[in-house]
Amino acid sequence: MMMNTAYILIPALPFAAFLIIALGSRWLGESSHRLAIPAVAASFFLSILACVDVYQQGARSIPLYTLITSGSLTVEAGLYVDAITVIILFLVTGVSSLVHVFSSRYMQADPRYARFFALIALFTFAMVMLVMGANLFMLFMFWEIMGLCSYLLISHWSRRPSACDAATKAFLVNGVADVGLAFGIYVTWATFGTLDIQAILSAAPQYVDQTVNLLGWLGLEWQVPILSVIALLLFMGPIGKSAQIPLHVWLPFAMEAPTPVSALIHAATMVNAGVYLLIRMAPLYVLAPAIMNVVAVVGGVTALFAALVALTQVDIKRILAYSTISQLGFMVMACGVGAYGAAIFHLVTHGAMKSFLFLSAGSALQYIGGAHHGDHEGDHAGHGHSSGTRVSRQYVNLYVGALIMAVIPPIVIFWGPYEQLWELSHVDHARVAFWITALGTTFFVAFYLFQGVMEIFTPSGRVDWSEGFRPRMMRPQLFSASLLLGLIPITAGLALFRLLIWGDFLVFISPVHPEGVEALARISLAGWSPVSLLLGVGSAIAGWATAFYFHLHPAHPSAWWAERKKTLYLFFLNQGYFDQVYETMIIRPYLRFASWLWKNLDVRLIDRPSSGLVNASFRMATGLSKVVGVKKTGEDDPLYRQGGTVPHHASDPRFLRILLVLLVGLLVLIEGIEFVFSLMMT
Amino acid sequence: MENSFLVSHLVSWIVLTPAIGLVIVGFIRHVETIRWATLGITLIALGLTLGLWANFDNAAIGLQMVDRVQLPLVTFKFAVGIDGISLPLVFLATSIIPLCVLVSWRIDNTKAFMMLILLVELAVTGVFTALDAFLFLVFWEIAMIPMYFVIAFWGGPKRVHAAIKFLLFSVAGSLLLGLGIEALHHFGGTFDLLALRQMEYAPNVQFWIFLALLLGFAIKVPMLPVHGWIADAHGEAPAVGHVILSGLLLKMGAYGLIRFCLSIFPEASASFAPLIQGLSVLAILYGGIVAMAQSAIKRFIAYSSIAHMGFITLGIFGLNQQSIQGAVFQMVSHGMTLGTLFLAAGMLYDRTHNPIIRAYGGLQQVMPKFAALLTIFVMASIGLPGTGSFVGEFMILAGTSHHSYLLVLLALIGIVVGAVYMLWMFQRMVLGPVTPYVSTLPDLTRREIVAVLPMAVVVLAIGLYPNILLNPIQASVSTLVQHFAQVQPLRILAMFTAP
Repeated sequence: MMMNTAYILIPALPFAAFLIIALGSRWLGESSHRLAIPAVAASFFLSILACVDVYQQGARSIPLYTLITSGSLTVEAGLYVDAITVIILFLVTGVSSLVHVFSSRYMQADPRYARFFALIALFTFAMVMLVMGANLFMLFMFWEIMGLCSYLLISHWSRRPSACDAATKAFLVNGVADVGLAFGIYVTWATFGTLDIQAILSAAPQYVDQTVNLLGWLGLEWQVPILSVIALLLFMGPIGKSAQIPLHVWLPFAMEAPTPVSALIHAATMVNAGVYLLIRMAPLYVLAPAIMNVVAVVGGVTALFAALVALTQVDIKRILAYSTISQLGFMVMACGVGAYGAAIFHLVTHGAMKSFLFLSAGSALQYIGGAHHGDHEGDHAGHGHSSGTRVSRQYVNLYVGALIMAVIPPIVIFWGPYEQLWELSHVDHARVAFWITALGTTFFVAFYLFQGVMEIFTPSGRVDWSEGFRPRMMRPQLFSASLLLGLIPITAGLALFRLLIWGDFLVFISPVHPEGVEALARISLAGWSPVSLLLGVGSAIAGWATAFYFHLHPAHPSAWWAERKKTLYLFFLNQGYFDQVYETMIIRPYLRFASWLWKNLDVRLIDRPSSGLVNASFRMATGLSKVVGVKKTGEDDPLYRQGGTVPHHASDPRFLRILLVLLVGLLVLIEGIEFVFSLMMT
Repeated sequence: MENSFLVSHLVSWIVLTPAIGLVIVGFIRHVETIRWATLGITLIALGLTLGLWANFDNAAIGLQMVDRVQLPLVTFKFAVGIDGISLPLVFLATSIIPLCVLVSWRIDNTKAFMMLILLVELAVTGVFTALDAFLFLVFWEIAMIPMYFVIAFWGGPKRVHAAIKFLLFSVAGSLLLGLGIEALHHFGGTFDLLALRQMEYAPNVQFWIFLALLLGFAIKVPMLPVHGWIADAHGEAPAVGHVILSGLLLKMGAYGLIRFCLSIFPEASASFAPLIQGLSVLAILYGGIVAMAQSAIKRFIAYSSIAHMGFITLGIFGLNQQSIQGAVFQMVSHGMTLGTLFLAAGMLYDRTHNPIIRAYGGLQQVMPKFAALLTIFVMASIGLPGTGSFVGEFMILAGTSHHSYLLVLLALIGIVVGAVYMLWMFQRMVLGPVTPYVSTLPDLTRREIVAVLPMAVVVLAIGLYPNILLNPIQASVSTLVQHFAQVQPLRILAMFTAP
């Protein structure tokens, strides 16, 4: 019982913080963080306890209350906690606490400070509930609430039209993806008769042979396994949320958000939800091998494409965004090839790294980066970056930070892919293609990360740091603190991962895995595969070396590339022209279609006859008013000319009165007829 | 003794309270007293409704707290009662009316306006509780009259045109409805709705009566091809007019569909269901797309209202437990959500008298409270989880997924189309830089907040704990759908080809 309360408190604390700040924003104001930080930190602490508890006691479910009862449809609000849940909880609450601490400095003097804290607390709550929710209804519910939070936070600096556009774009692109997810949930309910995730997963093997006729509504026949349909539809959700091709377009624009929000989106909340869904529904996916291939291909293409795009960009924000997309592609590909352990591992390490990158290094870079185009709100007086003395005080920390930046990401991030490559060797289908994709991505990621790190030491002006971050808040103490805090999730995450996930995850997946216990035994016994480790680390080293080569060499890699393969270079520089295609192929035709439909169908076909009737009744009334002897309001009564547009002077009281008498008479007539009719009937 | 008398005739009291109030307000001359008196009367009605809810037996099948009084001189009875389908709607009506009073506190010609509002309350609660077909028709006609005056006297520049259009459509609808009800009386021999349900009707009779009733109700809903009046009516009505229209009058049509079409003619309903469901999904898509082409706020929300009502008719003609229960749920949720959204648009319009979306911008900075409330209701009308609309749409589509995945998919696309236009409007008006036009607007007054905040609380409450509203609906809907389990649809084509 005690433990259940503790579990409920994990989401309840951020939610309480949200409610109190949202309702009391007027009184809390600049001290909102005093409420939000302890709340989220406490739920981080409870998440650690939850990790220990799940490690000792195993999974548990906590029913809360009944949301919906309607015939055969019952939806319970309940929590389900297992190893996957707690490991992501640990990441989410940890990163979110860091972001809260960071924001209390970063958002200083923001006119909507309280709103910001209320929303990041809600954002955290939504992600926590998403991973703890016991059924697909709750998953979808918090999936959407996260979309709302991202919308409101990306548009936080709402005076900038670009921020508002980015917010709307994020929400709508996700909305398109959510059509698929929601549809998948309805099909799941119609098939399984329940929305409880554990019940669905354990019942899934019984539905392997069941098929559905997709072309039945056309009178044709096309039988498809129902599980494949469900798996594909559910995958639509991650394509949007986890920014996979072709719906990745919102993430680069979402960098318009304040930096802490970007950190939340990239590291803890938003994008991880998609990968979480794939991991959570894994037992269902392994029963639909065709869809597993789709997942793997989409992930692989995204990973490689985004890495190449990141290579060509010069704006630091874009580079970061595409590096996230690339890493997410990696995770999705891992899910597609069945390497779920690697996916969740990479999820955690990437989350920890990215938050660290955004929070500590990102701000510190500003001191070297130079010019800052202050188009944000608030004053920028007395900033450190123009003063030499303050910059020199930052150096010690910066070197530490930069070194860690250079060393940790390759080790941490490539440990994940290396694990993945190791598992890839057990997958039969399309092995070569995935190998190449994985190695290629590893190479390019190493390349641009190292390139970025060296850019810090000897800025050549090739990478544009200027618009990335706001400089003033990064005090040395805070920087060191965030450095330390940044290290904690990484090390702790790794330790926990080893302790918890590896064994448990394989146990979790094994009962429904097609190869069952055998596969489990094979994977856990296979141990260390020198070939894939060497290949993985080798391609990373090759990436570093190439970056180093270009750093010494006067030519910028982009320039080098631009000279040789101009079309290809332009293609990646313009991010694959996705935005342009959507703009011309979908958005503009849609707007044109909307106004065409309105003008032709609604106005011409439906509105005109009824307006004609109205005008006829006007004419009747004015004719009658002549007979009765009411003076007309004027010869040039615009009533006739403008087709029923009645200007103010035409609503002459006498005119209206006649009209009213007529209408009331009509009503009385109708009612009278009905009444007489009814009397006659009896 | 008096207490039990009150409790056992609670439904009649709710209907009669506005009627008594009408007389009282009619005798008052002092304007301020009129306002407080009207508010008091409407709050009494709300209190009685809450009492009704407390005394309502969720598990009971059939109607509760039935009152039957034979009226002198006429053939029909004053028969009222409630079941799980009418209770939420009575609650909707009595909770929206006080809000209308609060919002139109300083309106011109107060006395007439307040009396009209009480007349609306009388008519709407009457429609939702009437158990006699003719009584239903009488209340139905009464509801039309105040709406006409509200548009024609307190409306925008094209008000007379809009009002007459509204009246013409309504009269056409009630003519059909009247004919249908007379025919029911002819073939069934009574006006009693409960007795009419038990009768058997020949297929031919069913077909024609059903069609007349359907058209009569469809105009009010409005369903797709007969929605011509709604954009004009909404475009010109004052803020309160919107709330009455979208919150109450449209729900009358949907309620009539359940109470008459579904209950009395299950066979005809089953045979018409695919057609109406198709039209509903078309309405969802059509309303959403056409809304995108609007430049005036109110017309814009009017088209979105067509899309939302499409969901409700889709649910009603899903003919199963989840979809009908969801439709009733959605009626309440939609009434609250769109009603308040219209109200917000009206509040803005009252400040500026400019209907064009493009004139606004950056309201978040000028009117933060207004922006916060608008955020909640825009998100609720998109159907964001945590609000009532999500639950309603979820249940309607869960029910629809029993018989057609295609309709579910199209309706889901309709939701995204809805999100597109709502966010487009929201971004243009609330976000972005402040336009000089709005820079001096005052934020919400305390009275406006008092009016709107309860709506926000209800919308969120039924979104987070839907069972509070679903439990009363459950039993009545399950008795209703029992019909449909063994119903054979009419063979409409055979009716025309057979000799």
